[in-house]
Amino acid sequence: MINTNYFDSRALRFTDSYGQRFMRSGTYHYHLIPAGAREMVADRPFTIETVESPKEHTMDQHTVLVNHESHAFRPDKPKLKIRVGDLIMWSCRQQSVPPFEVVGDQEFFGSASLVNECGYAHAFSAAGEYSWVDIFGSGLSGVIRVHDPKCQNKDDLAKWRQMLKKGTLVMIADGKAKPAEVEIVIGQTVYFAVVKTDGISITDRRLVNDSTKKS
Amino acid sequence: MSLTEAEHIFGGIHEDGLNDFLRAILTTRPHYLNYGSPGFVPATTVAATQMPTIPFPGVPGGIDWAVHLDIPVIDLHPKTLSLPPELSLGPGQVSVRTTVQLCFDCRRKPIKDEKPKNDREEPPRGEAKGPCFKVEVFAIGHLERTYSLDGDALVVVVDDVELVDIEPNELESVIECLLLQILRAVLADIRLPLRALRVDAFTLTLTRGPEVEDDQVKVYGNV
Amino acid sequence: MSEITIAIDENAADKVFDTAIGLIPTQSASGSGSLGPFVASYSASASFAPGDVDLIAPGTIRISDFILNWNLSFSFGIDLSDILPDFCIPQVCIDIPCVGEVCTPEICIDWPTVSIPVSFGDFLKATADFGIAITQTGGNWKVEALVLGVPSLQFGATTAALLAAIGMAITPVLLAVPFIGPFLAIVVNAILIGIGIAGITGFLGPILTPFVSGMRIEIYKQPVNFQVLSAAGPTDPAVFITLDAVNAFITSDTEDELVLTVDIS
Repeated sequence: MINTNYFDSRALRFTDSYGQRFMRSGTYHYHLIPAGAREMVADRPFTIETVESPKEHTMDQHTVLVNHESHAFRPDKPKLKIRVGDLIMWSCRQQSVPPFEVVGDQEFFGSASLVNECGYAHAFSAAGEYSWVDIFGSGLSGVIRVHDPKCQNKDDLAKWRQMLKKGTLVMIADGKAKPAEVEIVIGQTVYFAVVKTDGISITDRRLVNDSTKKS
Repeated sequence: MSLTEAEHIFGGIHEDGLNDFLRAILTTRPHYLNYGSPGFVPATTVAATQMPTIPFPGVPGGIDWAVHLDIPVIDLHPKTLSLPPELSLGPGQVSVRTTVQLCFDCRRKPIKDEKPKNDREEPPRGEAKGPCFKVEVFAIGHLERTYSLDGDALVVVVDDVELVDIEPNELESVIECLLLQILRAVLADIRLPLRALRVDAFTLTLTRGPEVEDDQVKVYGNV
Repeated sequence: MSEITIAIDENAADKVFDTAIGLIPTQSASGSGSLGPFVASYSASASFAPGDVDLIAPGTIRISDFILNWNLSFSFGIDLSDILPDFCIPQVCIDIPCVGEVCTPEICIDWPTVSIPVSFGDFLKATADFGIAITQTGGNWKVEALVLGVPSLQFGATTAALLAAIGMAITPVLLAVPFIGPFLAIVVNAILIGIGIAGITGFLGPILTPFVSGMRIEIYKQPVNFQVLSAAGPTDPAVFITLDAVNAFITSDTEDELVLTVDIS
């Protein structure tokens, strides 16, 4: 069986989302670029204006849909105004989109390195056991076991579709991932929520082994 | 009655076909029909076979001679072609009919009293002219199986020869004796490959034959 | 009367045809055909193994239970969107302690068109009647047995086996399609039902039948200018005769025989 369900928070694809909360007011600039091209692109054409929020304000989520066309990535909201504490979720739902990253003008702001008050979501598309690690060497790791529901008929499919609405949370805090091992079915989403780290990735261990072999 | 009878493969060649084969061989290789000493045949070629002269004391270079046969015609039992009354074509037999021409060089070579300088003086090559005489020859024979470069073959073996109207009888007997040997020798050299007689149709391991009947040579065998 | 007559009985004919059929080179063909609702492009090859010969006067040779060994490589495309319903992973909302609810946008899947490659081989037994064809082309006489009519081939258990092989070929291709897992059994089933035994028969028939109906069994081939004696030196050139006419037929006297007649000059 050929399993192409690789995942890497540094290289977002159509089954991924990157979420980032903005905890201080200010104007933040960012770009959407091919994964790994950060050093080659200085431009930060898109903006997020964060304004102070009243005490009773609860977190709002703003969803930014990324469009890939003519070799360029563009958010559907290039200028966004939010309140302090809000979360922005970037996703591109085009199946053919090449891997991309969100790169901001500050260290905490970027999908290539998850620092604090951020998250990475991935919907798993094939059955298997997936081991993930932090490629930056913090020692963080975990396992996602994806099961095939083996639907035989319409009823089975209907039950499975209901299960897809339920996501699974992995909290990453104090150098640990909780839970470290997760059991889901094909199509379900795992959201890795990062509280505070020095900058980590959620990277499929097979990609780390492959790159190690190549070096 | 089936053709193959108790065997599995049958091959039959009609006397007309046999004569076609003979004609093809002897037209392409006429040297089987033409023999002569150097006076008549300067060298062996496709057309003729050179033979030594007949040595005779006092005849410088020997007596030049030549024999030519017309392409023989074969008749398989039962009889189709006429034969002289002295011959009859019995079951399993073949008759052969041809015309033979015999020539001798009769240029007068002076017989001198003095010792000849060279007893082996060569006669002029190819210039001999004759005289010659032709005689029609009838023969009875049978077929035998033999071998050739092209595999199993048939050959005609002459058993008896008859000439017509040569007198005296003793002369006829002498010439018949000579022609019997010549004809036997000539036909012994002409080997008809069995595979050619069945024009290479199928393969045949011979178990019976060759048999001569119904104006055909018949062979039988297995594939 | 013909100058040369050669006859073989059924016993010999069986051996002759055994050899002749064994000498037929592997045949090949390619093209496209209908595999149920799908269009498949294929390349096929076939070879033959002998059967039993029955000579039937005046000119039919029946060969029973000869074998057609065949191999087939084909591929067909499936637009999965024709089989699967539109599918979206819905919005997923997760409650993060001390933060609040976080939701991912829905993911809608465009099912792709996939190409399924299949390789399969089998054999079948066939019985066919052959007529005798005599031709002179390219300086050669040829006597061949040619199939009469279009034979009906019986595939038997082959059709089920090929359907199973298609099922096995589909699975690894489909597994490469994201999110196909839960649908896999349904998709494979739908494809195989769509093709069905009738589809297999309808696919194989037009491919394999021409191999049989196009069978040419060479019984006799010789040059018109036939060599009687090979060359044996400078004074003995090769000797040739001309094959003027060739005929072939079957007689049934006390036994059935295949007879070849040749006239020469």
